[in-house]
Amino acid sequence: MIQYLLRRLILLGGTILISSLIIFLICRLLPGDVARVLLGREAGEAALAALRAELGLDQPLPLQYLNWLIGFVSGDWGIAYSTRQPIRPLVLERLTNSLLLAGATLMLSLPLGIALGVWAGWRAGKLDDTLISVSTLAVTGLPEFVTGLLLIDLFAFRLRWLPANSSIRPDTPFFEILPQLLLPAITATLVLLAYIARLTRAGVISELEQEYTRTALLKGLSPLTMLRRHVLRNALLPTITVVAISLGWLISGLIVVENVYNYPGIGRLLTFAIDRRDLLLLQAVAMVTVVIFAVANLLADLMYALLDPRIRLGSEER
Amino acid sequence: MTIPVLTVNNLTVAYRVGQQELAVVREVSLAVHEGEILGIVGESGSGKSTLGLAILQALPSTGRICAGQVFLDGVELTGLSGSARRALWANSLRLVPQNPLAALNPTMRIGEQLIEAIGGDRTTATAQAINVLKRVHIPDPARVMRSYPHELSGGMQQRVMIAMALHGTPRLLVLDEPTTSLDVTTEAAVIDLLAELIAEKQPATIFISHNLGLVARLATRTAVMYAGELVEVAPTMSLFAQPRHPYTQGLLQSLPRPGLRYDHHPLHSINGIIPAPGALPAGCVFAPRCSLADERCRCERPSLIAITEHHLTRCHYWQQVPQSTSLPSVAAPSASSNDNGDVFLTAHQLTKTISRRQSLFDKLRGQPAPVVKALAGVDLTLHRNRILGVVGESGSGKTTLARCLIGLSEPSSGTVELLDMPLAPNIQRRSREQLRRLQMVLQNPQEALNPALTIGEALMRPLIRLGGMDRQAARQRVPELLRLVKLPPDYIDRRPAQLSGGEKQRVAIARALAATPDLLLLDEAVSALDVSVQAAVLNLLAEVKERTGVSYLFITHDLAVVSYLADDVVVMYRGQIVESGPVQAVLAPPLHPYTEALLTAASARGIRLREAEESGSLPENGCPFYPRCPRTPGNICATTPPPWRDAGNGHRIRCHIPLEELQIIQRSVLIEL
Repeated sequence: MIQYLLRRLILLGGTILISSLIIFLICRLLPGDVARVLLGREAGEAALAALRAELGLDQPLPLQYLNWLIGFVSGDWGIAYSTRQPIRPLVLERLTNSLLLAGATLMLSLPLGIALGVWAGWRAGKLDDTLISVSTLAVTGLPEFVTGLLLIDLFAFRLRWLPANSSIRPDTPFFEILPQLLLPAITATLVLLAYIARLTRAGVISELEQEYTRTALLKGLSPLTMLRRHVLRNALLPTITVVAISLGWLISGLIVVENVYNYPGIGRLLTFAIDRRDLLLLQAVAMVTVVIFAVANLLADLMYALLDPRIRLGSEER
Repeated sequence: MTIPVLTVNNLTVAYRVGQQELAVVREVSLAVHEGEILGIVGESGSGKSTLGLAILQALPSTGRICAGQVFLDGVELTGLSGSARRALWANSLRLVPQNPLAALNPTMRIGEQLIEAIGGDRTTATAQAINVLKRVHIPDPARVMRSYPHELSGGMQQRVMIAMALHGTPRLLVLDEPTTSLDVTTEAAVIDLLAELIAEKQPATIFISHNLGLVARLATRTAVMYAGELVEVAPTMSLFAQPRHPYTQGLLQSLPRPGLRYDHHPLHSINGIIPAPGALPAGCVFAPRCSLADERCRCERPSLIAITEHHLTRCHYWQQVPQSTSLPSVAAPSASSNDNGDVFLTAHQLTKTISRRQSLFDKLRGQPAPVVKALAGVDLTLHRNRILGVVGESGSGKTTLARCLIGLSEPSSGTVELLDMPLAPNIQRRSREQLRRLQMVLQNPQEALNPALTIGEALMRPLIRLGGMDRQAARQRVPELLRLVKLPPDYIDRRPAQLSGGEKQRVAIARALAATPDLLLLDEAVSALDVSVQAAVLNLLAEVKERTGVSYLFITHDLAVVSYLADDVVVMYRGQIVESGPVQAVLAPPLHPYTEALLTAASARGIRLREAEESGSLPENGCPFYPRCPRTPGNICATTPPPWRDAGNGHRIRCHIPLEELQIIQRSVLIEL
C-alpha cells in the first residue's frame, strides 16, 4: 500500500512536470506581445526592449522555462505583469475562496443528491422515481448563467433573502461570508445534483438485485436496516469516486458561476489573467488547476480502495 | 405419522415478463417432515429454484405466488405480515444458495455478516459465530471472521453460508444447488458436512439439484420436476430403481455409467427441449418429447396419481414405462480401443508460467518475479483416431494445456509437434493447413458464437478460410454440416439467439468440424449442458468420430463422462500430469491418491482431501499434491519429486508409494465399499 502510494506520488510529479511544460509552451505561443500589451500602442522600441529585458522575455525559451519552474517550486511565483503584485498570495487567496465554494457546494449537493438517488432507486419505476429523475435532469440541462440569473431574480430581488453580489473581501469573517456563498453554491449544486442522484439511483438498483441483499433479508433484517447496512455502502462506491474526480472541476472550473455572482474564485482570476495577457499569472493559475485535478484523481482512486476491500492497490495479478 | 413441518398446497408461481404473467411453477403440492431430506431434481428451466424461493417467501420482485398455500408447522406463510415473516426468516427458514460469493456482502467482513445473522447481544453472538464456524470444520475461525468473502476459497465461502443457515434451530432448510460452483473433491466434503448437520439439527430439508448422483446420496425422497410441474415423487431408492414416469426414466438413462462405452452403447437422450413457460402443450407437458405419448396425452393433462402409498406419478401410461435401467453387460474392451493409431501430435515439457506483478523494491533488489506455474512440464502424445480425456479440478492447468496446444497461449518453454513438424507457439504464425488440422470447441456456446452472424455464415467462414472453398461451394456444404450435428437444414438462416444452449453447442461443434480437422480440442464442451442434452452431444461426438476419424482431446472435470468417452486419460494436478494411461487401467481401480479422490468423491465413503489453500505455498521440489494427499507415506513427498512408475500397457503413475502398495490399498478399499 505504501509502495503503491509512493509510485502514485512519483507518477503525480511526472504528470505535473509534463503539464507545466505544456502550459508554459502554450502561453508563449499565444499571439501578442506582452510588452506591447503592457505599455500600449504608442510605446517606443527602446521602452519595449527594456521591459522585455526586465521581465526576462529576451532570454532563450528553455532558460525562461527553467527559471519559471524553479521559481514556482521554491515558492517564488513572480510578480503579475498587470497588477504589479506578487502572484502567490493572490492565487492562494483566490484558491481559498474556491475551496470554500466547493466545500459549500458539496455540503449541499452530496446529502441531497444521495437522498434523492436512494429514494429513486428504492422506488424504481414508480411515480416518485420518475419525478426525481425528470426534475433533476431538467435542472442540470439549464446552463449555470440561466439558473444563476433566475436564482438572483428570485432570492435577491423578489424575496430579498440573499445578496446578489458575492464579491467577498479577504478580511471578511466566515459567518458573514456564508450568505454570500449560498447562491453560487446552490447554482453549482443544481449542476451536480443530477449526476449524483442518477449514479446513486443506478447503484442502489443494481445492488438491490444482488444475491447478498436476499441473504440479508433472509436474516430477518428490516428493509431499512438492509438498505442502510448492506446496500448503501456498495451502491455509493461509484458515486463517491465520481464526486472525488469532479472535485477538480468544482474547485477550478466554476468560471461561469463565479462570473455570474462576481465571486472572487480561481476561475475569475483565470479569465482576468487571459484578459490582461498576464502570462505569469495565467501560468500560475493553470499550474494550480493541474495540481488540483491530479490530486483529486489520486484521491478518488485511494478512496475507492479504502471503501472496497476487493481492490488491492499495487498487487494486480495476471 | 407425524405432522409434516412443511406443507405446500397447489402452489402456483408466476413471473411478470413485460405485460404478461408466466407461470413457472404450477400446482405443486408436497410435504416434508422433520429431519427429512426431499430432493428436487430437474433440468434448467424446470422451475425448481423458483419453487424453493417461493417456499421461503423470498421471490424476486417480479415473481408472485398466484395460488396455493405454504404451511410451516401449521402456520400459513403466504399471508404473513412483514414483521411476522421477518421473525420466521430470522429463526426458522434458511437458504444455502448456489453461488456463495454472490450471496455474501463483498464489502463486509465474514464475522460481521455472521453476527448479524445470529442476532441478539453482540458478545454472545460473536462467541456463537466462532462456534458455528468450528462446527462447519473451518480450521481457523478467528481468521475467517476477519476475512472478506473474496479472500476465502469457494469451499470456505460455502461453509460460511452453511454456518449462517444452520446456526440455532432452523425448521426448514432449502439447499439450492449448494455445490454446483465447487470442484468435485470440495463438493464431496460439503455434502458430507450438510448430511452431518442435517442429521444433528433435524430441519425439514429441500435439496434442489440437477445432479442425480448427489440427490441419490443425500435425499430420502425425491421429486422430479419438469416444466414447472412435479411429474414424479417417490422414495429415492424406488425412484431410481423403478421410475414410473418416462421423463425420470429418460433422465436416468441419459447418464453415462460405469461399464458404458461410447463405441458400444449410445446413451439414451430425450428428444426436443423443455417447453418455455407460456408455450406449454395442452395435454401432458412432457408429451412432445415422450416416446409413449399418444392422442390422449396430447389432449388430456394427467394428474399426479398415487400408484403406491409413497410413489406418485403424473403419467397416463406409467405401467408401460420401461424398467430396464440395468446396465448392459460390460463388453470386453474392444480390440480397436487398444489399438494405437499413428502418433499425431506430441507435446514435450510444456511449461507456462504466469508472473505476478512485482513490487518496485523487489525488482531493485534483484528478486525473481513471483510466478504461478500453470503448466509445469507436461508431456503428451495424441494418437490418430483416439480420444484423450484430460481431467482435473479447476486450476489444474487443463485449459491452459489446450490453449497452448492450439496456440492461443504461448508456452513459456517446451514444444508442440504436429506430425513430427514443430508447431509455432503463436496461432498467428501457423500455416493454414496447421490451423485446419487443429480446432477447438469452448465450454460456453453462448459466448463462442458471434450473435450477429447467422448459423450459415458462422459455418461458411472456416469452409472458406481454411477449406479453400468459394462462397457458393461453402453455402452448399452447410446443410451437410448441420445434418452431421443433427440440426434441421432451415437453421442456416437463424441467429444464435434463436437457439437453445444444446443447439448452440452443436453449431460450435459443426463449425469446428467444418474444415475437416484431424484433432478437436473440447474444453468442458458438455459441462454447461443438461444431462439429456449432454447425452445427445456425447452420442454425436461418438458418431462423428466413427464417421470422420477425427481425434478428440476431451477436457472435463466429470469422470463419468471421461470413462464413457475417452480411450486414454491424463489426470492433472497443479499443472502436472500425475497419472496417465488407457482409461480402464487408470480409473478401475484408481491408483494415484488424487485420481482416487476424484473418483470416489461421489461416494459417501470415498477418500476426502484437505481443502486447497488458495495461496498455499507448494513444496519447492516435492510432489505438488503432497499438502492435500491423504495417503502420503511421509516426508519424502515434501522434498523429492515423485518418480514415474510404469504399470504396463502405457499406464504411468507419478507417486512415491510403490505400485504394489497402491494396488493393495485399492483392493482393501474395494472390499470396504
